[in-house]
Amino acid sequence: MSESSPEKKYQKKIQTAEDLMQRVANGDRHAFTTLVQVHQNSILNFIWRLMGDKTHAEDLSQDVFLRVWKSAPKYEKRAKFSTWIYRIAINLCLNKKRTLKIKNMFLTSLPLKRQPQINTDFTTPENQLLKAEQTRRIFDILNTLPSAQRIAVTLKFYQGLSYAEISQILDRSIPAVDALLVRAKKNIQKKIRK
Amino acid sequence: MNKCRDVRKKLSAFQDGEVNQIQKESIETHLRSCRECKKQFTAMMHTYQSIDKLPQIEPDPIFTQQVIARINKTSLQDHFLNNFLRPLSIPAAMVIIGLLSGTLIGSLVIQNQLNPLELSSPANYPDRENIVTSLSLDSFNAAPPGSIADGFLHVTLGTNMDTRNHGVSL
Repeated sequence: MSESSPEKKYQKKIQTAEDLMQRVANGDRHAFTTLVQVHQNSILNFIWRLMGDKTHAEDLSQDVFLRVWKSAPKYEKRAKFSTWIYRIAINLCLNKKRTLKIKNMFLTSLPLKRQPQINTDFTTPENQLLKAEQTRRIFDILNTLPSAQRIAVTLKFYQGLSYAEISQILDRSIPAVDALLVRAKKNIQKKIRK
Repeated sequence: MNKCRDVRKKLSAFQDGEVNQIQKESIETHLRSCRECKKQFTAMMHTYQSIDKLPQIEPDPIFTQQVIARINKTSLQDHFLNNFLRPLSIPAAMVIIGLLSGTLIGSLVIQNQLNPLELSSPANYPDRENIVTSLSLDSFNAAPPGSIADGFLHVTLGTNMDTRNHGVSL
């Protein structure tokens, strides 16, 4: 494997994040700013794909980094930073979903129930319309999946993580992650056939 | 047939690039020759195609500043909590506990001393009856002023009318 292979680069990135976290644990705000800048995009998109709402994704991404800052002293260097931050993000998303579910139970009778915000600022109006429709269709499919399957699909397909990494994040065995993805794919197939 | 079953078990991992080189080659060879397995694999490929094309969203240009601002805000809150509220919390808790226990003890004492409802309670009735009777006897005047009994007593005892009309000790 050559020095510049993607795996090596990925390892380097992990190392950097972990080193930064050590500095963040000592209250280094500069290191924290760098960490936010490096990971904001991936965390924001990950949360958006899980929640299907841009506003929630932005709020929750901030919450994730706030939690990273507060929990930095407890962070152990042995743990992969990506695993750790994804776990934080997943927990916050699941909590938010629970809260929204309870809220919706009480608000179902109200006519102006908040719709998920799909607008993602595409360039031309035609493109905007087309892509917004496409995005809505994809979220319709993803919304049919149970939380664990949706998380697994998002981590695998969109975030490009390996089964081993997903198994660490979800605290499940690799065969269990495989089974989760098989079920998710079957559910997506069913939804497409409809 | 067994080969098909083995391949189908691994199709999802194969699609995700999670099989080793030997398994990969074996599955690829099988897919070239088995129509049914190929069909299943194509359907599986459609799943990812259907959720592909989800665009990337861009974070707010001031995202980092927003996070830092929130950290500063929570730091201030924590500072206030640690320096002002936390030192006050123990005395405040003690005062609240004192007030609550005082209220509780006071209400228990008052309840035990005088509870009009207890008069109607059959369990307490005999004792209460005795108390009420003795109180009534204490204020009973057998020879109220101007009555025959009063006149009789006046004659037999020869006492002054003004000094003896405040009750009789029997």
